[in-house]
Amino acid sequence: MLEGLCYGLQNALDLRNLLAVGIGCFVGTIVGVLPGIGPTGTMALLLPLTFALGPTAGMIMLAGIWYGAQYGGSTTSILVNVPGEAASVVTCLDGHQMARKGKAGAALAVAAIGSFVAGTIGVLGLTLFAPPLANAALDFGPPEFFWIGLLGLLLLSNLSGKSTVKALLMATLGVMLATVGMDPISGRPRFSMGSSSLFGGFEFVPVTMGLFGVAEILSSCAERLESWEVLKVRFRDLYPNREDLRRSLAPMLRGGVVGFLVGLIPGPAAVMSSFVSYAVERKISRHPEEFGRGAIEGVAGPESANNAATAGGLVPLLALGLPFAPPTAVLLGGLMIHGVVPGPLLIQEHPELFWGVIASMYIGNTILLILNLPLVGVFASITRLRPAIVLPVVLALCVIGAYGVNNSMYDVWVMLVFGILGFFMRRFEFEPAPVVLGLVLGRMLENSLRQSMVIMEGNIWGFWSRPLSATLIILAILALLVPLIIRLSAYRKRRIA
Amino acid sequence: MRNKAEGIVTLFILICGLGYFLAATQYSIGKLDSPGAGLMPRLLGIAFVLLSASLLVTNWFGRRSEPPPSPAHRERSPKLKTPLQVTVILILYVAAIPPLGFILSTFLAIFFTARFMGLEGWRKPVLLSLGTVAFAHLLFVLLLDVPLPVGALWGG
Repeated sequence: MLEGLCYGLQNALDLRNLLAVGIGCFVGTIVGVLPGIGPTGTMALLLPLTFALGPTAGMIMLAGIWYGAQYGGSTTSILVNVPGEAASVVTCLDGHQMARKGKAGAALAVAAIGSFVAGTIGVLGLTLFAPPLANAALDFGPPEFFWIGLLGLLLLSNLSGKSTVKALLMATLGVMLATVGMDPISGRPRFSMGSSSLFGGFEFVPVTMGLFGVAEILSSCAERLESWEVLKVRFRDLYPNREDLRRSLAPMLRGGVVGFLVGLIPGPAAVMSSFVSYAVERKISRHPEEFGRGAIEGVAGPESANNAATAGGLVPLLALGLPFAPPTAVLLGGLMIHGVVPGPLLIQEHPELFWGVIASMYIGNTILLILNLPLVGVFASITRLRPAIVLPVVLALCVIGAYGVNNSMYDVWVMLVFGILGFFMRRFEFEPAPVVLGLVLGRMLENSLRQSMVIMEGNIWGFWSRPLSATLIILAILALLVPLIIRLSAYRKRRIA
Repeated sequence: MRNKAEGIVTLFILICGLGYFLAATQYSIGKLDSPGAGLMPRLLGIAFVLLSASLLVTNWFGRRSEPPPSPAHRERSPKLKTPLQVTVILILYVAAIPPLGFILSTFLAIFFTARFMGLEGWRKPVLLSLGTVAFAHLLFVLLLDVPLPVGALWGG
């Protein structure tokens, strides 16, 4: 493992890869600072750039955008009281209160240091967990891949949005979209309606750019088009005092562990981890009454957790080839357009990529700490840019980016249709993340189901004869039933009350 | 948002699910030991129809038991005018790329989108459009070698 990490560091220190991690962290911080533009849409938008960079540098850049956005998100939460990123929602509670009390510098510094500490804990976890998991996954067959994919979709649906039924519906829609195009086994086109463009099915990149890029912009137009008022912070204020640091250290470490573990679970891990960490800190605090009024633990814990969660989210992608969150789905899409098939064999077939991405995250976290501490004022001033200036530019770049993936206008139309669809989905509280994951995992689910049936000679009970497959079935059943039971018991309690 | 619009949307989703299921019946489901191209689509169609039907039922009963939204809530709900304007511009923009080419169509799209989003005057939207077109040309055409459409009007 140490040998692999050294090899990765050697790769990550290559000039092209260093440039990629720098671009990724810089763009990620800007995306994190700007409300209304998320990392998933930006990662999809910059996919054509990976053609010029190559797969390793491309993945390093895209991963940098993802974890960089978690750093930047806290700046807007603390200084403007508007979360730059969904994962920084909870930071508004205490971060902005600290800023109002003249402690913006301390809050920003603690968020940046916490992100660095927890980001490093997360990458350590990734370094330790991903290789053995990839080794274990070499024994996986089609039945295990089918059930692990289904389990991922079920867990994501349980954790996305307010309604599980709506999320399940969207996950099913995603898998349905994946059935459009050529049947991988018989070679016969399905649901193509006679259009040769649909023979290839729906490409993942334009769909993601539509659902996350265009739809986000249209939603932002519906909400606010004025610039935000930003609290000023001076460079000399960016030093937390000894008491601030003493109170923050344990929440940072706890946030790192909590974030990494939550990151392993399919779903909006960065968002969930920040809420879980906040709840943990409040629960164990000697002064829970301070929470919501500017408790530094309420900034240190969640901001650390959301960074560690990104490293946790990379474990299933790099070890199993399964993306369980929209940003990792974009990373998967990025690998696949370069002909790299992620999965248990990635570590053997492309060690430069596997270890290069992991090692680059150590460098990326250091770059982000440097970027986010002295330059916090510069990044905060970006928030003052009016959406009327930012959004049209991003919209045009989405169109050009979608065209650039295959040099095809068909992809641009697909992006547009899914952008409009995504806008209405948001209005009616249908989450777009399960659609994207359903689309990404759909082909794998269908292929592994059909291969399993052939292997088991049509005996559906054969799934139970494999211990790992049986365990995954039980977990999938629990994932389906537990939320239902919880909801039913809550409903009963309400009726009795 | 349990209202009439949500009920209509859910009904539309249910009808789409039924359409997908009916279309899936064209493909053979094969046998259990050699599943055909129609097996997965049929399973998905059934799941989609059941889920949307349950949503429709929940929505129907929920709507009956919930009070109508207050005027304050209605005021808070986001406006549709600007997103609709931007959507129309976006459709026209994409349709205009093949005949007008990327430079002119992008310039016009950014100009009008910025104006509809409230960027006052003429100078700022023109500068923004010119700057974006120049940046996109530099990044995509010169650096990434993406052959952006020149446009039929210019002989492309």
